[in-house]
Amino acid sequence: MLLEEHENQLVMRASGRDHEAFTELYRLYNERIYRYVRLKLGSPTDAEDITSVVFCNAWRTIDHFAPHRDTSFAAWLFRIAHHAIIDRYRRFRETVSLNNEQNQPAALAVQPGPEAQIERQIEIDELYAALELLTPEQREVVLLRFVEGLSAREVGQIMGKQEGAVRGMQFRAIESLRRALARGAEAAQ
Amino acid sequence: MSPKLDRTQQLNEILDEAENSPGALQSAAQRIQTHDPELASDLRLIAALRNVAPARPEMETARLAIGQRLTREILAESGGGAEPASLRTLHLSEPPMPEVTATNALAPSLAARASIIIRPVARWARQRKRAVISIAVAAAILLAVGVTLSMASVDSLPGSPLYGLKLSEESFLLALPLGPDAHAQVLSMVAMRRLHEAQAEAQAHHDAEAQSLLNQYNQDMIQLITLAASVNAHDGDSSAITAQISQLVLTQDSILRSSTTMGDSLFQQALSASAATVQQTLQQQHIALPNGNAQNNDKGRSPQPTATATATPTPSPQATPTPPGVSGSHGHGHHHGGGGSNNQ
Repeated sequence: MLLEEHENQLVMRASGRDHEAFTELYRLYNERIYRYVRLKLGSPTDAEDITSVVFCNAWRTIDHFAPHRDTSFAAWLFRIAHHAIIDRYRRFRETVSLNNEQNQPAALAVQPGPEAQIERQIEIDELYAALELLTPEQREVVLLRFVEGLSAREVGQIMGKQEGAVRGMQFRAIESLRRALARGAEAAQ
Repeated sequence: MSPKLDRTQQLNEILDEAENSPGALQSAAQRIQTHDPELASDLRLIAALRNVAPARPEMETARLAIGQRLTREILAESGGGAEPASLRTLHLSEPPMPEVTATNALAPSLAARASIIIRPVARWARQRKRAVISIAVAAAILLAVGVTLSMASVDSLPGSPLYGLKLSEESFLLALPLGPDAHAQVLSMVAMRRLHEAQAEAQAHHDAEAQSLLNQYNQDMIQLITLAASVNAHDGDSSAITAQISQLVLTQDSILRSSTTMGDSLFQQALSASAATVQQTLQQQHIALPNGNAQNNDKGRSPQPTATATATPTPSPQATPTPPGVSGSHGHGHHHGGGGSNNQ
């Protein structure tokens, strides 16, 4: 609660155009937003670019955000990131169809990996490759719920879904990811 | 209740519990290991996912670039004139402050003061003194890097009046008597800059400049690889250096894919040639890069004299579906207007 209160104070100060408060918020969330974007786009350069857009937009519009108004600052920021990525893809839709809902990946064969594969440290590029094998919705749930640790409610707010729907997707998403990682590990051998 | 439904519910409950207690995932995994090893695996995987992070050099580079763009954005709002006094203390490009915890959330300034008050005692043993000196030197270097790099010259390109300043800063940092890892970090930063400058020049159709910058990038990479080889030759651990090289190779690979999508064949050829040079040097120096799936077990050494690095010089455009132009702006005066939406 103390953390939440501290963050709310920072948000209120930043809404009043307090640079230092916004810097503090930037420091708190920079790595998380970068990681989220990086895992969605794969390229460090693109992640850098979009993360900049996210924080610039957040600075411009932070006065529209009201703490305690049914959404957390984290969810608000991730939602900006989510939409920044969608906007970027939308502009290049003719040539890129990464987030095309119709392009569902082929069902993954059940290949439960050995324990060692699950327990070892996962590298970011390895995770990116595995996420590519998931449906866009599963990818979003894995990133926001599991990697970023947001609540099911917050993930629902970002994805425009009900909390219950997110909860329903969790299990299938993590199962698919486990198989995708095992598949990637097998391919690498 | 079906086993799958039961598992879904169980996972939900454990995840809810983990929101308040981060160790809950691991302890739940241990608890259910015998009767449901598959769900236990999923829980361990979720715990591992929370630790996934970009490599340190990549994060540092990103922090610098993002911090500078954000500073520009804030400055632009302030009228674009003189830097406001409060902004001078922002240092958006600097590493993050220690995480605010429940215990220090209300007194960050007190914590900062306390760290200044605590001084090393003169009677400390030599080893501790050395450690303090090392930390002080590291802090000074970090400060120097942070301060100098946060100057406005970082995004400048050849031909800009600020570019000379940028090169002077780099020369200064490269001339510092640093250890191999810190020196590699500076070299890596310089190489990364050349790479992005080359990309920006190519996008502006300044092909000769782009080629020249790529040549400099090659030189920096050769120096980095040679440095790693030299560390290996002295039985040292070159894994931090090879991680930096690996990051650069990945970035180069990503830019190459982007230029392929953009149809910039001249720059694409130059990048491919550069990647081939890097690969050749890696092979000649017997340096293996961490392959992203496992840690380099031999401290950066190639297991065999003919070992090759993991990144390929001729990537497939389909490998990473990077939208054309997404990677194109990277600072250099581009304005990122309206990229996202403020959804409330």
